[in-house]
Amino acid sequence: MHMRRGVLLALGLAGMMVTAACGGGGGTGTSGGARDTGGTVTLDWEMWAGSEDEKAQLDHLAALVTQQHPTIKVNLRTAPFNDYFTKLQTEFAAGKQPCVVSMQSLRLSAYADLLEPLDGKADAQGFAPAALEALKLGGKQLALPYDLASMLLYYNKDAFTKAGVAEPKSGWTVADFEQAARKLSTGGKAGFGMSFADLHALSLMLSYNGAQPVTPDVKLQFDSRPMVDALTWYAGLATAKAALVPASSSDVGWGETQFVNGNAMMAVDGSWNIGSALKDAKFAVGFAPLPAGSGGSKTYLAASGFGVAKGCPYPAEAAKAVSVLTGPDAQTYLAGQGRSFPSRTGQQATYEEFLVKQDPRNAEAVRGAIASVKDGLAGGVPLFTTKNWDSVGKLMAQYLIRVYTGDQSPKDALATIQQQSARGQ
Amino acid sequence: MKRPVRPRTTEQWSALGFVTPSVLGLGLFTLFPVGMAVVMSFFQWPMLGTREFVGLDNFRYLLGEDPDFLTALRNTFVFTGLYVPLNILLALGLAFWIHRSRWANLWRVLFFVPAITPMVANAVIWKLLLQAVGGEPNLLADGRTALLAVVAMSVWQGFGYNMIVFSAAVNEMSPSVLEAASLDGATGLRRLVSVQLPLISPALFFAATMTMINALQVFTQPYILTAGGPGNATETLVMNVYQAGFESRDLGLAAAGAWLLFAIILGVTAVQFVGQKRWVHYES
Repeated sequence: MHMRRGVLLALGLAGMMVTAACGGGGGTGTSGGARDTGGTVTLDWEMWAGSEDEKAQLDHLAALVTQQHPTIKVNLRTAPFNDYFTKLQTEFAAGKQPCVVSMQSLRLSAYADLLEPLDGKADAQGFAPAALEALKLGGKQLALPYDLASMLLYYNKDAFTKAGVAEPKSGWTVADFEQAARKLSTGGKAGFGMSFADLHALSLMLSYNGAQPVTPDVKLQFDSRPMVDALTWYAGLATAKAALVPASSSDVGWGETQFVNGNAMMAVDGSWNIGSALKDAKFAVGFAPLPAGSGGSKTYLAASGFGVAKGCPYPAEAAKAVSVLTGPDAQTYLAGQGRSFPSRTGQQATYEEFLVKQDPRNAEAVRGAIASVKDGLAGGVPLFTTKNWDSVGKLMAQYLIRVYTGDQSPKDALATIQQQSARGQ
Repeated sequence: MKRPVRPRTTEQWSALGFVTPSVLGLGLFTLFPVGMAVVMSFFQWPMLGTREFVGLDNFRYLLGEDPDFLTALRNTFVFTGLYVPLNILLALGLAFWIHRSRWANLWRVLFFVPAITPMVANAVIWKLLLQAVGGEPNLLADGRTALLAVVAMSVWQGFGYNMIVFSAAVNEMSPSVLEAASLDGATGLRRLVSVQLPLISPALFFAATMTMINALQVFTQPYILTAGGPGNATETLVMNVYQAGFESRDLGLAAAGAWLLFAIILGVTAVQFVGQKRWVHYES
């Protein structure tokens, strides 16, 4: 009996040590690529994708790389967008990261130390400067953009016509916006759909008075005076019964969903949703630049792109792959598929044509949308984020809603967000 | 006399053969992670970057400085304090009622459906329902009602399982004991409290213990319904651990939080086991 227990214990311990040995190898791995005997390098590329169609588009891009560099093969791995960053950080932690990493400008600071700067290693010609800027941190180009997004005011054309309110256009002011929101709030419908998501809520506050929650040297300043003023104004839309307050802190996409469902007549949403809003809404959709506050119309910009992971055993090949994945051919293809607003100025017209062709009746709306995007780029500022932006986003969801329901003052809520996110920024 | 060594050794080897897979599994997938979590809780262990030994700092931070941990602890206890009694009472009441119903099997299936449908789907449907019901502000956006809404959804989702357990126990109540009780004149409440409940007390104990453990680990319902908000009104311990691990990427802090939760569950369960001697009757 005694012996048996000893054997079991030893077996158990041996098992643990085997696991420890396997698990201990992580952290400094050189994974993500391999060279076969023929000299062909296969690179892993991790990207978010929500459907088979999107996967097929990405496979096409991967094939473009081999077409232009026959000795480089790209092996695509995908995850749904909501799981992508959780998966990516786990892979980095385990040393199993891909060579080619897909990155979003809002998440860049959390991954800055893990990405190889691309300056001088990849082709950076032909991009909209704002798109390159959004994926730069500390003066280093950490990824090359494949798209560029600005925030727009989406509005329900039918509702504006019915209420006899002049439609939003370039030069529309915050006062015009408020007035319209009030007038359109009738019969159980609201003039505006509110949000606590970073780009959606913060862009409108930026346009209102230039308030920014992050300083140029990437420090949080949620409790600054302009932020308090901007939030007071934003929450005032709810107090005046001119806006729909999110139903809970987990309703991240509230404003834009309520807009498409026809419950809110205006909402702030990104340029990436132009196509889907036109398709899904059962009313005519119009687009305009965000209403102009004291400093003119402004919006935050965001970009997504591809970078090279540190520790990739074939960085030169990976940089070449990134150049192709964000190159003119790739962008022409993606724009023709209607993926999103291209980061390369030369391909932006292709995207516009795609949207027009989708439904020629929307031609005018599309042209207005693209003009508004370009307008936005002129007054656009990249939203630089802190390392702990995920936690900041969660705090915004939890505390801004208290301000919208009138449960907490803007000043207190912003102070709470600032104080609780000071750790790890 | 010669000792029969050979058969015993063979027996031992086959026993070892049978037991090895599960011991290995337990070691690899349970004991190792548990041991690893203890080690990690003493480190500042970022998901990305270098780790550093910090002793009890993680525990000190959670109990002293973390603005959310103690609130999460309170919310978890409030949730458990409401959810467990409501769940048990509802399940018990329905089990007795179903026992006498002509459509017993139909009711059992109907009430068990929420327990076997995925929790995420249930939570999403409840969220839509609460949205449709409306109200200004929404129940889930109001700090006074958000946790209650989470409890209501959880009871609806969770009581079916206990109801099946109680239903089986009620069916198994010894007819001779019940008959003896009725001959002695026990009826109504008296019969329920002094005869029927003691008869099903092992099932009650099992359900109370398991429900309590589940309740202390509540995560999915508040995560989907309220994301911890408004403010931190519905933030629970496991959400705090999740937040530390996957949003702050501080695995050491997450491990420390998980260990505190483990200690709490162990303590509560131990108290229940000690207490059961006074009210649980096993037929021998």
